[in-house]
Amino acid sequence: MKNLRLVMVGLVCLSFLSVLSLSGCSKSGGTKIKISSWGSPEENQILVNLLNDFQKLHPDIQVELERVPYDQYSTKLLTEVAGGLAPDVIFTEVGNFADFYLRGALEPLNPYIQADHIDLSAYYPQVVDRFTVDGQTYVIPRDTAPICVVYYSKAAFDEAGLPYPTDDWTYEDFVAVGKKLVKKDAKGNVTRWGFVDDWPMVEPWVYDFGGSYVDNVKHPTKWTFATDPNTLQGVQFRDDLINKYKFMMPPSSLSAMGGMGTGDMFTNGTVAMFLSGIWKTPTFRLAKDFKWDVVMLPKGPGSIRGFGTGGSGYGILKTSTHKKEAWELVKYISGDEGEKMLAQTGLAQPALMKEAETTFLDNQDPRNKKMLLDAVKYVKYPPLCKNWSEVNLSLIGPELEKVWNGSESATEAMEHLKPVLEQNAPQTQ
Amino acid sequence: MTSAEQKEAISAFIFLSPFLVWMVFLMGGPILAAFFLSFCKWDILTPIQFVGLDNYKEMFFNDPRFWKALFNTAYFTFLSVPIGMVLSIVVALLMNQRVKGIGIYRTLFYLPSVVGAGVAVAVLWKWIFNADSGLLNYMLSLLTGIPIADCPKWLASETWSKPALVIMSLWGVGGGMIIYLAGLQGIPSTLYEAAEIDGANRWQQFWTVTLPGLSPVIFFQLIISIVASFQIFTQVDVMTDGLGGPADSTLVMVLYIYQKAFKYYQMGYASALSWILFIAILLATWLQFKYSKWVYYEGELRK
Repeated sequence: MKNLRLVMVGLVCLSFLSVLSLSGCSKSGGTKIKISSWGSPEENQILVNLLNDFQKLHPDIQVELERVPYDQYSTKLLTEVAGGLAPDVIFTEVGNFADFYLRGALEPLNPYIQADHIDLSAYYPQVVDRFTVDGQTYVIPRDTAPICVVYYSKAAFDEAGLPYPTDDWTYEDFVAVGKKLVKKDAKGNVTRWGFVDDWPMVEPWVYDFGGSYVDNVKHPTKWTFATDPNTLQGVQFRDDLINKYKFMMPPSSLSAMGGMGTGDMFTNGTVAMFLSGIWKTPTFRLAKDFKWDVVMLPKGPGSIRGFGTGGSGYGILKTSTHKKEAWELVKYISGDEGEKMLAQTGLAQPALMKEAETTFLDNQDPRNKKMLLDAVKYVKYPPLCKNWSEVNLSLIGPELEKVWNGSESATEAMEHLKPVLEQNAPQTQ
Repeated sequence: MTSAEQKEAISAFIFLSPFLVWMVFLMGGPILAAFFLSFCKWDILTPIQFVGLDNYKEMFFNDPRFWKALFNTAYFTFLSVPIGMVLSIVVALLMNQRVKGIGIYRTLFYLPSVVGAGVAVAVLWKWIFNADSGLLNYMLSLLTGIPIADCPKWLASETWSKPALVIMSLWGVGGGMIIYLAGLQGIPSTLYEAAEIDGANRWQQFWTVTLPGLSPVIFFQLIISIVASFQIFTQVDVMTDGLGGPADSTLVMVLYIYQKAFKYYQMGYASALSWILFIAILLATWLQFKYSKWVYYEGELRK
């Protein structure tokens, strides 16, 4: 019995040793770096392919990919940074970039860019600008995604006897067209709505009517949302689409769609026009016997244009202990190869202008996607402050819901928001 | 303490021990950490900063959303708990009849509780409440003749969103039913026989035998359901995409805590909110114990 126990102890020790030697092995196999990302399986595959190719070029660097659901991304990564378990490279976008940047988690990239003579002017300047604060660049852009893409069903336009819209249409044209696209049954119930957005968004109209959220996007000191008369006009316009012209699907019809998104309602003919970013393309391409195209969000009053936008890129976390290797990775995945793959899926408009102007403009639907090359000029970004999402989602959002529901006017909502926004000034510290 | 009392106390602690171990080692730390954090400002990455009572001051004097969340939670609790209890007692009484196939009925009524109150059920109810094409408005319109367009907009309406949550909470009456059923079967039949001999009718029997006999179970259920409904979260989170809308009309306390902590990274403030919720629950439970003279324990002498 005693011998058996000895043998057991010996075995346990051995197994520990083997674990140690294994980890030793992997260390000698090269530097390990980790990259975090989110995205659809399709989007993820692009990254996996890129990482495989990168691995072949750099056998001395081992890359581990960590996938995190988008809605938990910032929380999880910030916690990892605090706990010392953070990845070296992160995928980030217009919105959560602020979460990382404002907490000082991102490595300034200028020294790397200069050392390797990376030409940032090959990327859309508007996109580089989002990720550059006070002359320092923190993220190498991957794509841009102006939310100015009005998808329209050709069948609906044909049926209503309307010509297809063109990019130079105005908000007045939009209203005229939208009203005509509504279809009702004998009882007066609407069977086809004129328009709906991907999720309830007011930004496109606020910007298109020349409105604003803050005094200075990069260094906000106060909210201008409730005081800017142009913002009010934009809010009023969305209110009118729902409650006055009644061709935009109201929130009561939208809520509780369960698994069905508004995108499905566009392809099944419940809605004639659908506002989103270009990322809906792969999904809509799958819809059978469905003819569609895209057109730019109409011009606002005085031919103003302004679009909210998504867009993403890659950055390095300050806590990384392998910044040199991390930079090699960032350089590779944001380069030509990756941009080409991205363009081919139709998922996104590459931030690299060369790829946006060539590969992206293939012969697939939507035919009019070239309008996006022009649209990039008008993109607007959300303010860089820590409380942006709280103010937008939990203070402005609920107040505007009353407007969309028709229980409050746009003017009243702005009056209510004035003191609230004054009290919750933008936090940059 | 007499030796019998001592013995009872010891066995009580032995039965409680698994929970106590869990409580001290797995819950105690986070609870204390939350208490400490409630006096601090912390956004996960920047260093923790001590701010004294600022979080609490902000909450009470400067944060309308806190009061809204508290109101919504109370509204939900005061409606869903009594309605749920009455319904589960009624169902339990019905299920206590000696009818052929009663086992099948009991199973059917209990089934929803087996599915639970998780994400899947919340998604299901989202469909049921859809204003245009949901089952509820379809039935309403069928039964009352009101056109669907004039039916309540449920989750899309500031007025109807909370009642919708209450209706959804009734999905769980089967869980209460099982407990009441057990309670009903624990009432000795001798009491009913005695009542019958005294000439009491069914109604009188219900008031003088059934209800007092059931009172410990009712008391237990009351406390448990109030605690649970103070902490409602999953359903609201799923049905409103984490926003508590429309217009904050379903913003309940735990959802607000979650938003503050994990969406807006205000860990200190969220901790303070948790402590206030804890105190509110403690107070509610204490009040119930204080006014629990109506509870009748068989075999225990009134002191």
